[in-house]
Amino acid sequence: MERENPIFAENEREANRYSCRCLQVMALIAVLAWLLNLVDVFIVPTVVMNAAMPICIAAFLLPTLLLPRMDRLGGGFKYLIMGCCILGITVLSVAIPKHTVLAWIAPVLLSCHYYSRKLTASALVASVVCLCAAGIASLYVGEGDPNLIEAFHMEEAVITPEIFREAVLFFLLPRSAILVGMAFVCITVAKRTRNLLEKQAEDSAARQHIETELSVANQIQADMLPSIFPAFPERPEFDIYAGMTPAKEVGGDFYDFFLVDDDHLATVIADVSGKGVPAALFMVITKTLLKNAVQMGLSPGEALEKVNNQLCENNEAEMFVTVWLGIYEISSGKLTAANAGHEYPAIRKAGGAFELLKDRHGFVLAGMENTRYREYEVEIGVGDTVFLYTDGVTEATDGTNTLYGTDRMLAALNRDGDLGPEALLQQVKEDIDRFAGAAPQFDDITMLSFQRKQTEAAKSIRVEPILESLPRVCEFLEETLEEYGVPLKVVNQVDIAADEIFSNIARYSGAVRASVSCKVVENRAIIRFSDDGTPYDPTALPEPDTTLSAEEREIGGLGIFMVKKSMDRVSYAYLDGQNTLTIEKGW
Amino acid sequence: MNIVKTSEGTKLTLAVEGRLDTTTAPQLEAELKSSLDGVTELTLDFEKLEYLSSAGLRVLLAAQKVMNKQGSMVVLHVNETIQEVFEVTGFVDILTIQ
Repeated sequence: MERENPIFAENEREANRYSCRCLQVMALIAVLAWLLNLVDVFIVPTVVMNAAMPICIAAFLLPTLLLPRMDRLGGGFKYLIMGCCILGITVLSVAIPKHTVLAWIAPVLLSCHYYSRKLTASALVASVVCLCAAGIASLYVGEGDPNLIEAFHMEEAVITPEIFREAVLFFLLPRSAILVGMAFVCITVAKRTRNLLEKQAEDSAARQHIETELSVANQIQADMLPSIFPAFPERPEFDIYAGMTPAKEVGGDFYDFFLVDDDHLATVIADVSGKGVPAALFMVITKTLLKNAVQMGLSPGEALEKVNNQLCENNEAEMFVTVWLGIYEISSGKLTAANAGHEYPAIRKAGGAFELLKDRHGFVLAGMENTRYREYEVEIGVGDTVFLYTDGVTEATDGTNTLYGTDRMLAALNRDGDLGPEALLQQVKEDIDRFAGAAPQFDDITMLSFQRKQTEAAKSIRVEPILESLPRVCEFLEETLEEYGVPLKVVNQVDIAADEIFSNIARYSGAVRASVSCKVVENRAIIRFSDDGTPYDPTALPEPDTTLSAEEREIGGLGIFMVKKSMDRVSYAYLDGQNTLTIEKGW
Repeated sequence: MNIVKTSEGTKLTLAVEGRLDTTTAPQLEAELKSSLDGVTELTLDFEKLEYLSSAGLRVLLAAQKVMNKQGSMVVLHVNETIQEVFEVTGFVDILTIQ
């Protein structure tokens, strides 16, 4: 039993040490008594004392000597301690029985440290047996007890059977009975303490379980935020970076960004009211709903309205969330955004400084049903940078509870002129850390920034969408790609893809105008086919079954399937009345 | 695209050179249509073929179907790009490639 629980194993070691210390004190008292007797303060016969005390002191000190070997002796050590204690007291009792009455409770009391009923009960039985034995022995050899026999010194006493009977019946028996009664108090204490310890161990295991789960939840929440950067290495048109420094407790800040389609980047930054698990759960719901709404093709204002109503439906907890949602059109640089009670975004025009964009705030999400959210548009020029943040930034505090504030934030943003998103976020974070010093921060610090980048203009040609234009298209692609030193194999694959895509346009689209553009970014060719024909997404075509036999095979759909298989990325968008199919191939 | 034709009894070898794509595939299709009568062993030599598109695959599939009925068809000297196309589209299981 006692081996099972590490708490009890540890307690037993502690109790062993503690018991040894108690026995040392008892040994010290025995030495004092011996000395006082030698200088005639006590008047016990010297012969008796000289014989009893060394044995008694040795018995008390033996466990201390063996203490370093405690581990080797294991569970037996505590019985050794009890044995030594009882032996010492027994010897003492034989010598001076009338002074040692109280001492008999010592072994039982000591055993209480072990929280073991068995040990305390064993100590009690041994004590009672030894008490009686010592009592009887003391009649013949001890100092004598005037309560037991009339003679003060044993040498003068005559132990008649009558005296013996009286001593046993009227003294040893009641003393033993009292000892048993007191020992039961000790047994109860041992048992109760043991139960308490067991319960405490259970509670601590349960708490540890909850803590583990919370930390997993925390991790899941953190993993929900896109955190691999560069996030879109294949998109040289913009650069985006975001980060969250969580406060101690799980919080409700989040950011998100994703491509809605080939030409639209959605960015979200939000802060859920409150903290802890409720805020984290609300954050997960909000993030998911927002992404769904935006991916359905809703504009920022519409998306906020829809999500607001969804969140309001079952919001018994009266939580709310502030959100800034922007959809950035990559080709034109047009940013459409709506703000549901979130902090003002900061925007820097290329070559300029960051300024807050005092956009019109709508009400927070989940606050009130059917709230309207006004959309606005901002032109993001090449080199312009947008910076979004939560109140964890502006409300970071220093040791004197001064707020960091937007002025300090803008100053930090503008300190080093022309930083990219990642360096920018780092700079602000460092500034906040410097400002806050050792003061604990209570809110997550969340920031997101994106910048429109200069991209190399793609080469393009306009061609008539007829099959006869195909050689021109291939020629244009080959020339452009060879100019960049693209490997021949890739050129061939692009040619095959162009053959498939362009022949489709020529045959089926009904277009009157078509164009092909081509550019190479690092080790990646990006080719875009545009036509003004009927909207048609070839990427949505079901894949052909390539396992059929020659007789069963249909050739339809094989072309675009080959394109999908040979290119790294094929994406379709219908933009400004044009079918736009973009293929990418790296090497 | 060029097609070099070698005929020997009921054996026919067509060496296809250049590109077999949307614009050139009809040429091979016409050639096969006119020459396959009575042929029992058709060999397509792709040694000098750069690549082929799905239009080319369509012609190969049609030829394979005809030859399944009247004899055998073998495709020779397939380069890496073309082999990849055959593999991706499952044509490796239909054609006899040597």
